Amino acid sequence: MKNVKIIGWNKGFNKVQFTLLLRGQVGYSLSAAKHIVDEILSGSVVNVEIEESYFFEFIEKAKQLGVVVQADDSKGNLITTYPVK
Amino acid sequence: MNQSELQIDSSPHFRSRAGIRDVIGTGKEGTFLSDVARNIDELGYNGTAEFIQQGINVNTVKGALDNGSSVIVNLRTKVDGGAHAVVIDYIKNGRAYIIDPLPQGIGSAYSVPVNRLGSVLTGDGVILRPMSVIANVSKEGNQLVLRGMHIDGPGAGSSNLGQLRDVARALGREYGVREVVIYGGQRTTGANPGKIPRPIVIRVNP
Repeated sequence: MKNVKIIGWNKGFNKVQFTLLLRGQVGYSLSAAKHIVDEILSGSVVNVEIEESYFFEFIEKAKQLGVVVQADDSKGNLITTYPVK
Repeated sequence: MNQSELQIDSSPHFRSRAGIRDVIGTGKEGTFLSDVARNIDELGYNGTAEFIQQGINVNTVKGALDNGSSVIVNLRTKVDGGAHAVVIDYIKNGRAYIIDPLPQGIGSAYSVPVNRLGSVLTGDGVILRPMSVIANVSKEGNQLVLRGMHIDGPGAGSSNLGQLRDVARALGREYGVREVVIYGGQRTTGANPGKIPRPIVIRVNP
């Protein structure tokens, strides 16, 4: 498992689709997934554990849905999806 | 007080096949996809249906399915150079899974390689985008309270209050309450991202 830190959201953040992504692909319950989304909206930094095989796809999908994430790839590089101004 | 998480997806009410054919204008020659898009709300569908002419390709289909939409496409037929409409159910491992109304009155389900699908698309199709709602739900006396509601509509500004009222009333009837109170979650789209909308009270039987 790899840790992904969710550090914010951009205008256009698709809350429902991200909730469903956390529920479906990542494996959280609907309740837990919604709680994570509400925490993101309140400005909290949230850590989620992602299967290694799904790591890059998750980051890409999270970015497309308007989530700002930070994570280390397997080579020790820091990946950040920056806010879109 | 009973509190739970709830996800609601818009879906058509039950109709007989004849009733559906009547609403979408199916005749002996078939159905115009543009009529499907135009009339599907009469079947109780709360999302939106967009008819796309000459703009559907495999990527459009895949993107729509990934976003939870349903997709109807026209395929070129070998027989007469015409078109035949099918539903693309999902795409997985390079194959498109299709629900086909043929044989007439029976229907069939099968899969084809995605590139094969791409080669027979006419470019016309209908994308059905559901309205999804996620909220913390509690029943408090004669009220159903939806807190922190997030809505994923068919597009910016497309989930209008009328659709929301319809969904809320249907839910209220299901729970046997007089009113549904909606506390919207923080907005992330539109003119005021970050704003928490004012509560909305909807009478179930106006």
